Amino acid sequence: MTNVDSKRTAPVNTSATARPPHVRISSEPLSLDAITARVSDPRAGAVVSFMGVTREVPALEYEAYAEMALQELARIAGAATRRHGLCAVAVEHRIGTVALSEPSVVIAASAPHRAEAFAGAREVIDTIKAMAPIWKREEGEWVEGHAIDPPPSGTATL
Amino acid sequence: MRVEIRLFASLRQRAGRETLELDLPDGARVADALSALDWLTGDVRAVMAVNRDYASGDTPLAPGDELALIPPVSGGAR
Repeated sequence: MTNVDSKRTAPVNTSATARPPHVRISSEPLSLDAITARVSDPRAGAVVSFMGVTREVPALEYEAYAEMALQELARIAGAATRRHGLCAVAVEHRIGTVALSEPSVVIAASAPHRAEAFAGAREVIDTIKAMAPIWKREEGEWVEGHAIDPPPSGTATL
Repeated sequence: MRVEIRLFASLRQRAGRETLELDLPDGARVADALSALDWLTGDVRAVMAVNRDYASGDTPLAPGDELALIPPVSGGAR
C-alpha cells in the first residue's frame, strides 16, 4: 500500500500493517521497561503502559490454562489493535506466587495518538480480566471471579 | 466415547486432581459433558473450552478433543 504524506521528511514506513501482538505467560518477574520497548514503532506518537500489581496481601498465587490463555491474550490484543488502530500491543501475565506490589500483568500499547493508545490498553486489561483463563488465590482462597458466558448456541466457538 | 477434561483452580482443588475422564455416548455435546460434571461444578458457573475456545452447549464433541472446565476467571490485578 502506498501512503504519501507530504509533511513527512524522514523515510518512515507508515503503511498500516498491524504487527502481531507479543504475548507471554511467565513465572518470572515482569518488566515494564522490556514490554514497553516491544511496542516501539516509527508510526507511534503515544505509548501507554499499564502494570497491574498485587495489593493489600503479602502475596497472590496465579494459575493459568497456559495454552488457551496465550491464545486468548493474542486474540484480545489483536482485537484491540484492529478496533483502535494501534501500532503494536504487548501483554505479559505472571503465574505462580506474586509478592505484594509486584506486577501480575503488564501491558503496552502504541498508537499514532494518545487517545487510541489509552483506549486500546484499557480494553486489553478489561477484557483479560473478563475472559482469559487465569485464576488467582489469596491466602489459600480462590478469588471469586468473573463467570464466562458461553457463546450462543449455533456458533461452534467464540 | 471417552474424553478427558482438564480442571483448573477451584474445580481442580475440589476434584483433587488435574484431569477427569468421562464416558459419553457417541454424538454427545458440550451440554451433555457439563451435565455429567454437575456433581463437581455444583454452584460454580463453569463453561467448557473445546480445543482452547469457549464452546456453546450444542458444540459436538469428538474423541481426542482437548476439553477444559473453566470456572469464573480472575486474572489481571484486583
